[in-house]
Amino acid sequence: MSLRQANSYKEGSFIDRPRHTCALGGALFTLRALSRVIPIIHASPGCGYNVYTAFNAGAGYLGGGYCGGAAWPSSNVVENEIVFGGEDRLKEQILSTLELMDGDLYVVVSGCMVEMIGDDLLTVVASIKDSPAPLLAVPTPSFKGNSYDGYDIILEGLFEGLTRRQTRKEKGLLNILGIVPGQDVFYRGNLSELKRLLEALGFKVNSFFGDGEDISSIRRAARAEATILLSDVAGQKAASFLEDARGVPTLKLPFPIGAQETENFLKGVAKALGLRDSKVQKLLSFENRRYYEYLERAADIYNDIDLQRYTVIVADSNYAPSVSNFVSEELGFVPVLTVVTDPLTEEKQKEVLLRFHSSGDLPRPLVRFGTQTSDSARFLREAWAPVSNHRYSFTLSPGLVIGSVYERELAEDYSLPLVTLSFPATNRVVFQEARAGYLGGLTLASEIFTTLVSGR
Amino acid sequence: MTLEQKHHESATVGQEVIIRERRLGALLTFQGKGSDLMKLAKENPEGCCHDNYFNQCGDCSSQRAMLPISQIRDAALVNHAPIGCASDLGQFNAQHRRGLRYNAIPVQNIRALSSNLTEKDLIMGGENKLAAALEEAYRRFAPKAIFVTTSCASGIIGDDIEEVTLNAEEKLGIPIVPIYCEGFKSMVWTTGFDAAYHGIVRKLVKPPRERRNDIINIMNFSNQHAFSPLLAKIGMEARYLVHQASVEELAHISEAAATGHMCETLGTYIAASLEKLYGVPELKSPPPYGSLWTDLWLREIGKITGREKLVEKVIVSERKRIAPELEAVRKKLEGRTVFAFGGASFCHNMLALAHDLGLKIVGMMGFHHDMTFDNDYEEIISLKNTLTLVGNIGSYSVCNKQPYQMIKILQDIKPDLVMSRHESLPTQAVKLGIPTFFAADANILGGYDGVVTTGKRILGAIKSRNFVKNLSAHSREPHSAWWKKQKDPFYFAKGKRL
Ligand code: SF4
Repeated sequence: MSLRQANSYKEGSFIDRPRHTCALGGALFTLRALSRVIPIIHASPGCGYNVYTAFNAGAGYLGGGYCGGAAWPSSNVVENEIVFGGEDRLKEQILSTLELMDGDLYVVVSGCMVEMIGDDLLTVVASIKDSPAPLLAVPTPSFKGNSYDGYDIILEGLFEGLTRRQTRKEKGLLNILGIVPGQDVFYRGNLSELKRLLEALGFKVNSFFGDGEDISSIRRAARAEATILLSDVAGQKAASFLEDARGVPTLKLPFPIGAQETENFLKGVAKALGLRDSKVQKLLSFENRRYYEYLERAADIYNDIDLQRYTVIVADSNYAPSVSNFVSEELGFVPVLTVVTDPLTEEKQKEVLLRFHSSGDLPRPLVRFGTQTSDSARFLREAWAPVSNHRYSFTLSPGLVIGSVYERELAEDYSLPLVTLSFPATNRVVFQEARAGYLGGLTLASEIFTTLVSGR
Repeated sequence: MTLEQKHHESATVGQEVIIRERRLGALLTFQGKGSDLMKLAKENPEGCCHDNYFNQCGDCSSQRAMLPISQIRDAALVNHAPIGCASDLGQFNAQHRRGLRYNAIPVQNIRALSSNLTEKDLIMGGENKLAAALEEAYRRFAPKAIFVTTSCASGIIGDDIEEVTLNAEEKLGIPIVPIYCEGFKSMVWTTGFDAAYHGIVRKLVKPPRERRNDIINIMNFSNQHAFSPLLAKIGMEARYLVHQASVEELAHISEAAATGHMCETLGTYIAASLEKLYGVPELKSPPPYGSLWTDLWLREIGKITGREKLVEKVIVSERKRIAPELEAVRKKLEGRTVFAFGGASFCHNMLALAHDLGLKIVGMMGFHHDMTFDNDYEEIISLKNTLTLVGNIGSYSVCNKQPYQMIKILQDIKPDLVMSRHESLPTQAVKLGIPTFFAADANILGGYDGVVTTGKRILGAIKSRNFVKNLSAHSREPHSAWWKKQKDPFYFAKGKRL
């Protein structure tokens, strides 16, 4: 089987039941994930609450948090401002927010309406001299990008506004970028797992959104020795900013799920930062031992009742290759179709394709790129068309679908069980659990097996 | 536009519905007694949609319009907008799947597209893209009708939606229903419900083939068949609208004996339209919440359908049936103080329930207030009905779901418990440590059984006391120390205070 691709996403075409929101949405959920940050939304009345609803439900019910959901300050511009301009209204909203809301940082972000009428956020913010905490403006015109872009735009804005170039770097300090809060339903668990592992190697980690962190992690970002970038798409701009304008080099590594990829990840970091081999080995042997002691438990039942599955994976460019590699290499499954769902340029698609392991004779899935929710069903139909002599013409059984709740229909059509992990995941409430790293891989394996034995 | 003109315009089939600010004199800020608001509505029916210097984010018409129409089971939806406006489709999908399951209809995902307007379209216009999206929706979903919802962006670039939809209608041979619901046009987001219903009435509802004296339209959200057992006792059937309805069913809602609803805020616009256009009477009674209003509701149905005698019998036997349980619940609840917040008229329903349960009403907050409704019937003015039933309300406020104001009012009143309806806001009460009953499914609180159900659920909510206390002790409040000391919740209101 060769890797194949087909691009169903044409820049700017319509989107069927989108799996992402706009730049404003990405920006707001990035800010929501930071501790004690107060966003000030300059937009029409519904935008803020609209993206809140999307991410609350879709991202495993992560709630409004400190200042989110219905409590987000918003200028709620209506017809009058559209006609006469909304800058006065914005100024009024900022001044009252500074009085009423208590935060460590205030960030003005914008929706598409106010960008269309030409409001200038930066000028308005510059005219305000007195603020109890830093006040920044980062235009997040929603029509210019999706929520993955919004994450980048806002982080670049924060790094630009809150950091300066540091000639002396802090030894062992690392930034992590590329995991988008909300779009990655397990973002917080993932960050703390990766942080746990890196700290075990003696690093200090700015994951920005992790347990116990606050905006001082943003301030320290320019002092880091390197930025680990875990995505081919998200975080690219913010990482480039840190590299070009702040002198923090970027170390791009695949988003790791399970023992093998996490081992590669840790080795990659250690090598780039010149860490002693023995230190890494010590951690790896501990982690691997624990990991396989657990995974081994499933070996008996795996063989007794044949838990191997043909797997269809529908996820974004972080998860799709990693989950695909994980089920194939660590669970011995046969991934048959992997659909990458975020909107990608052709160039990006090529990069993402390289993430799918090609070593050895392990079966690789058919990889397709499809932003439309109905794409996955079409791709599957095409791949599994019951035409005689067709090379895929055997039943997709026993099978498994790993995707979002939008894949329920597909799973039902083929009578396959579904494990949700991609956005939107309205069928789960997610707290600290991870999918990345050693512990995340174990949790994923355990969930997959649990699903398969749940009828017993 | 004066409010007189509105009665003419609103219920005819013009292109778009007039926003509530202008049609119903809707207002967004008020604090006083219930009776003051009543008086104000008499003196100043044009109302005034006040704004604040400080706002927290709200809803928009587009979202409120998309909710009901995304749930019509064999139609498709094209949201003509930048991608972000379609954000809550995931949430609506979850709702639709649940609704289908309730009704034993094969479960499927909603069928919706975003036309995904990008920067280029905002300069060049998005009409071609909309046309393409309509064809795609047709090809993909084989729908019986396609709805198009507009957005702030499509409104500003001035796309001719009528033209595109008419062309598509001709080409595809199914009704294409434009819904004009640009978020920036109205501060009162319930305008979106009117916009959705307006489109349905304008394009899908057909003149009646017959009159069904046994069917009553019920405008609602959850589609739980909770009113059916009661209606069955008088030989009637409820048609729950519009969630999970089919396009064909919608075509014939003009044949019903009457139109009722679970709340005036939601249902009175379409009720008035159906009455004016097709002679389907709007029920001239409050909706069936609390025993007394349920009596009135049944009597009105009896009057319209010639079932008066039967209704009286049913009222007596039903009341008798629930009496022991109701008494038991009342005993446990008696004397506790309650504060209600939620969509304007549904709040009134909650107060009717609270009153029936023997709770002591200490105030309410509606998220907007309509000074009048589309039909000029005294009997449907929900505020008036409420004050008649429960007496004056000492602390009555109208606030566009602004947590900073809600928290102040709650802190001031310190009720024993809160009744609420509107997602994500009950959290505010919980963060203050107040046990909160959330009316997630409005239907099951209706009728005689609904009173008992509500009572039991409230007793359950009270038992969450420890959970609520713990959360409250550990949650951080984003409002400043200065605001916490402020006395006036409406400190940031603009203009003359109503
Ligand atoms: S842009 Fe307008 S229509 Fe879209 S979510 Fe915001 S307020 Fe609603």
